[in-house]
Amino acid sequence: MKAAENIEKLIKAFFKTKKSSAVMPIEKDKQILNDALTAFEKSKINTPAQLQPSVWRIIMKSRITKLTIAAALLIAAVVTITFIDKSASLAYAFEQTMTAVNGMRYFHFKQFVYQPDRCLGKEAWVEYGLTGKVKNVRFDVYDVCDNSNNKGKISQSVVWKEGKTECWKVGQALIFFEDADYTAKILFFASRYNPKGALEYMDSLEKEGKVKIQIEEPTASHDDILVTAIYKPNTYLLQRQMPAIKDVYHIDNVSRLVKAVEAFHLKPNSTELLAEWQYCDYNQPFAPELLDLNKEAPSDVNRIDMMAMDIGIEQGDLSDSAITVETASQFLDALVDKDYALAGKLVSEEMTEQQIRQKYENLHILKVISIGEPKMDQYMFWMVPVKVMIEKDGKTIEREFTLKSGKVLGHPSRRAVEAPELKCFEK
Amino acid sequence: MFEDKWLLWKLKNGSSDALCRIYKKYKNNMLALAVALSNNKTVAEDIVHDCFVSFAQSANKLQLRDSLKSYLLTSIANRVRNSGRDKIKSALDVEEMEIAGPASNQPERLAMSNERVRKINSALTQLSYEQREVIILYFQSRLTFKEIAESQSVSVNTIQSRYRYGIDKLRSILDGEV
Repeated sequence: MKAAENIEKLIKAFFKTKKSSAVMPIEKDKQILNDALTAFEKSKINTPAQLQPSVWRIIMKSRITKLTIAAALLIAAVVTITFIDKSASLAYAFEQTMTAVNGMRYFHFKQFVYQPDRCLGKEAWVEYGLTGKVKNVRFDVYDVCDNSNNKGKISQSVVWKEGKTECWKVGQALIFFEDADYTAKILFFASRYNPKGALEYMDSLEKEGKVKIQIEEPTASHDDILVTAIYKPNTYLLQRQMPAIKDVYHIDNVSRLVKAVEAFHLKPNSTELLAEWQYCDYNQPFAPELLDLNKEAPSDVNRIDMMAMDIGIEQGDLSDSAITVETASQFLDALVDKDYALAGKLVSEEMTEQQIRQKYENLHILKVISIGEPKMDQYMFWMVPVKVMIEKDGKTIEREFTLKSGKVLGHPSRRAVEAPELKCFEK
Repeated sequence: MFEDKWLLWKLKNGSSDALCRIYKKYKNNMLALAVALSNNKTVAEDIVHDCFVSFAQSANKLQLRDSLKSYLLTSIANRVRNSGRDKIKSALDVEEMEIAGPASNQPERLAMSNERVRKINSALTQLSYEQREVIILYFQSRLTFKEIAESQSVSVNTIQSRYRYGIDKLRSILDGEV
């Protein structure tokens, strides 16, 4: 016990013991939280500056005040041009953020999408090449998460490298493909979350009158600049039917970089938080291993090269609607005939005969009664209602389902049933 | 670190959920520190209560120079100091320092005998408050000397001296005993 380091080790061990045993009693726990929440709510009422519309905006709502202030500003402009010039330089404009991110090649962000029963998380890394084109993208999809840290498991990782995609469906298969539609989605994804691209897009929509933008300068130097964009219905995302949406960009007052964005669904009497994303860091190069799923996935996992697969049905001259019906019809007929090998070939990411048998044999589909009119969903998949007759507990009964179909990855002229949606049979 | 920044940002934007998360994340750290500094579990719980309620009250205007953890733990240390060391000392009860609860079930606890814990407890109470505070903040709360110095508005050298003298004194008390 003579050496200083020994006593330090002993004291460290002692405190480790004490710390690990510090537990707040449940009753006290509740009391502290309740009191803190009450104090927090009260403080919101007492400090309205940050949380309520600014006094400036309230004043400016009055027409007379607007005229009076406009006149006053004119006089002030004549008297103190220098002062006004200085103030004007402080005002926020999109260009400042665009300039701040200009030349940056690496973006890393997290996205959280709120659903009624859970939160879906995504963490993404986007690398741009020297010419400014998207070079590499990786995103991990979490099955469950919260927005403080991703606590759920990664269900899927995707790496896109200059047109080629690797998709690691955790625990299932590693899939390789090249697909122009998928690439377009990836590029849109990258541009949507690149602050420069997002602001440019917003700006162009504003010029078309599809979005209203408000900029709220901070009341204190440490607060964020808030940019609120209200999108008219069906303008928020390309090619998708969307309700009216409000985005709130939180922009750092000093660096002018976007810190986070919240997206709200605007309902007649309320707003609902749909999603949010946070920028973790800017221009921090990421490790090359992050872009190698072949190395990351276990060696014994099934590797599927979609380009070499012969699956789905050629669309030929059929309309989108007709090929959807045809795909559903052939898939269901194969299940009725218990031709599970054929059914497996009609699923977008080929399932083996055994996998199909395991999943659908017990359904005992006897015949197809009807296939309804397909409709496209917001994610560009075709949904088709079907009615079949099945045998259950010795009786024959009718069941209705919805089948989802889409293009086969790597084979844009082919259609297949989307495997995940086959779960609908289990309802 | 990023998570804390995010929580703080959410808090400043009125999220009570963020407040709950901050509490859950740091409550045990705060309690452990308050107990170690005050030597009294009941007093420690009250200090955590007062500190956190006060934090919630001023959340909207909060401007942090350091990390959130450092801020909360410093608030605890300051409040213990301000609540009157004499009062706390009079409430000192070596048995209460065993607030570890179901101590015997904990593996770390098993690694250190009760006798040894008692001796170290006793030795710590013989240090000056300043020395004890630095040692606790450094070893238990894992704050750096710089963070401790900033929180007490003294130089890093002063903090390091208090630490060194504290460790020397502990060694001389415990030498041969433990």
